[in-house]
Amino acid sequence: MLPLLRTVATRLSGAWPHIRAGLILFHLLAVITLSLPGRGFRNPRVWQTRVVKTDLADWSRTLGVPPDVLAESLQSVAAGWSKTRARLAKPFLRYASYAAMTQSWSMFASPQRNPAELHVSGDAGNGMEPLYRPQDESAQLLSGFLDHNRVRKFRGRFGRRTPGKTFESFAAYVAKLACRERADLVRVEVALWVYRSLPAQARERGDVPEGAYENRRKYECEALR
Amino acid sequence: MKRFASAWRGWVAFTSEKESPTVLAIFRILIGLCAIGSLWSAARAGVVDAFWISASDGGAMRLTATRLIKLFGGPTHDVVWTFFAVAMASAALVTVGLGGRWPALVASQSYAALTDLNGNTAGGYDAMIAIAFFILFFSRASTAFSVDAWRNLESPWADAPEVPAWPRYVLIFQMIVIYFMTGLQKASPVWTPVGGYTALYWVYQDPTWRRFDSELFVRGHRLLQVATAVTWHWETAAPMVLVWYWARRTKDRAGRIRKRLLAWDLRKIYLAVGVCLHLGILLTLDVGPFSLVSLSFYPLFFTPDEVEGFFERVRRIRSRASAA
Repeated sequence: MLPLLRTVATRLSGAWPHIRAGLILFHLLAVITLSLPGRGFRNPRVWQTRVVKTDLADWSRTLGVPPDVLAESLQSVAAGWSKTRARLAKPFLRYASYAAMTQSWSMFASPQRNPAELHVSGDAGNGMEPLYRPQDESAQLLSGFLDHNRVRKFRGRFGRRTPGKTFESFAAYVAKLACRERADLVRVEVALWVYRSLPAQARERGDVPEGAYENRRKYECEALR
Repeated sequence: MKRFASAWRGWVAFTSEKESPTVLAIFRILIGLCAIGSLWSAARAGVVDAFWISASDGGAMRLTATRLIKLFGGPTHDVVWTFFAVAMASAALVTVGLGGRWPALVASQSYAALTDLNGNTAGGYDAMIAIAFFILFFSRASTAFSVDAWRNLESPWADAPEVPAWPRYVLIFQMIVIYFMTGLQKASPVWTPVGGYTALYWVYQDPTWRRFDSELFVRGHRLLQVATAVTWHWETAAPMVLVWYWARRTKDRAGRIRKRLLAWDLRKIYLAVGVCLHLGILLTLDVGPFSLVSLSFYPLFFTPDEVEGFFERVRRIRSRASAA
C-alpha cells in the first residue's frame, strides 16, 4: 500500500504545476468573461432611465439617426450580445460567487446630467425649514450619514431611474432619523429636487439650473419616534 | 500541437515562478488598512444599520440575504454585526500578518457577504478588496513584514523564503482589466470627442460625488475637458502595460516594435498618470476609498528586486543626508 501511495504522491507532485497553471488560467478567463459589459442590457427598464435616454438623444443627434430607430437597433444588438455574454459567463458564475470575485466595473460610465438632490425639510412649529441640502452649510442635519460615500451612491440612483419603493423606504428611514435627531420637530418632508445641469457656457453667463420637486413625502414625527 | 505544448510549458513555467514576498506583503498591509477603513467608516456613519440590516430589524429597506448571511440566519442586527466584527478582525489579522493565509479567506468572504447585501451602496472598491483578499489567501504574503515572520524568523523584517509570484501577476492582470473595462463601458458620448470630452464637467455639476461646489469647475471646464480625454484614453490604453511586460520578458528576441516599446518604462509612465488621476479624484470627489484601494495595487507592478532597490536607494540618500 505504501509504495502505491508514494507513487501516487510523486505523480501528483509532478502534475501539480500543471494543475496550478490550469486553475490560474481558469481564474483569468473568469476575470475577463465576467468583466465583459452587458449584464443589464436585456432589462427593458434600463433603456427607460433618464441617463440612457439622454445619452441616446446625444448619439442620435451626432449620428443623424432618429432616437427611436437608434434605440431599437441598439437594443437588438445589446440583447444578442447579452445572450452571448451569459453563455460565455455561465461556466464561471458559481466559482465567482464562492470566490467573492464580482467583476462589475461600470464606474461613471454615464455622468448624470439630470441630478436629483435629496432635500430634507422639517417643521418645528414655525413652518418648514431646510434641514439637509447637499453642500449647503446652513442645512447639514444628518450630513454624517447622508454624505457618506455609500449613501451618495444610493442617492445617485434616484437621478438615473424612477425612485419607486426604494425611495419610499429610504425617505421614511431618513425622516425617522431626523425626528430622533431633533426632538422639537413636528413633521418632516423628504423630497427629490430634480434639475438639468447647465453647460459651462450657460453657467458662465450666470444662468442657474431650474428644478422642481418630485416624490415629496411628508411624515409626522410622533408616529416615527 | 507542438506549438500548443510549447506554449503550455511556457505557461506552467511562468505560473511556477517564485520571488521574495516583499511586494505582496506591502500590498497585504495596504489593502488590509483600506478594508478596515471602509468598514469602520460605514459603521461610524450609520450605514451598517441603515443598509446592511433588513427593514424588519430596523434597517432602511428589505434586503435579500447573501449566501453566507442566509446560512447564519439572514440580515438581522445580530448576524450582520457579527459578520462585521469577523470582517474587521480578519482584515486586522491580514494587515498585521498573523494566522497565515486563513484570515485572508475569512476577510474576503465576510467582507463580500456584507457589502453584497445592498448593491445600491456597494462600490467598485468593495469588489477590489474582496478579490484582493481572495488572491492573498493563495499568496503566503504573511511571511514577510508580519507577526508571523516575527514568530517564525525572529524578526518581522527578516529575509523570508520565496513565495509564488503568480498571485502578484494575477493582481496586475486584474487591475489592467478593471481600468480597461471601466474605459470600455464609458459609452456616453460625453467621454468622447463626439461629446466634447465634457464628462468630468458634468460629474462636477452633480453634488452626488463632488466634495465641494466651486466656480472653478465652471471656469476650469477646458481643463476638465483635457482631464476627461486623458482619463478615458488612459483607461482604454491599459492593455498596453501587459504588452510592455511581454516585450520586457522577451527582450532578447529581435523586433523593431519590441525595441520601441522598451525605449521607455511604459509601466512607470502609465502608473504616474494613474497616481495623478487618483489623487485628483481623492481631493475633489468622494467615492469612498476607491483611490486608496487602487493605489494599493500599484506596488504590485514592480518586482521585489525593484522595490527593494528603491528602498535601498532611499536608505543611502537618508544616510548621506544625515552624514552631511
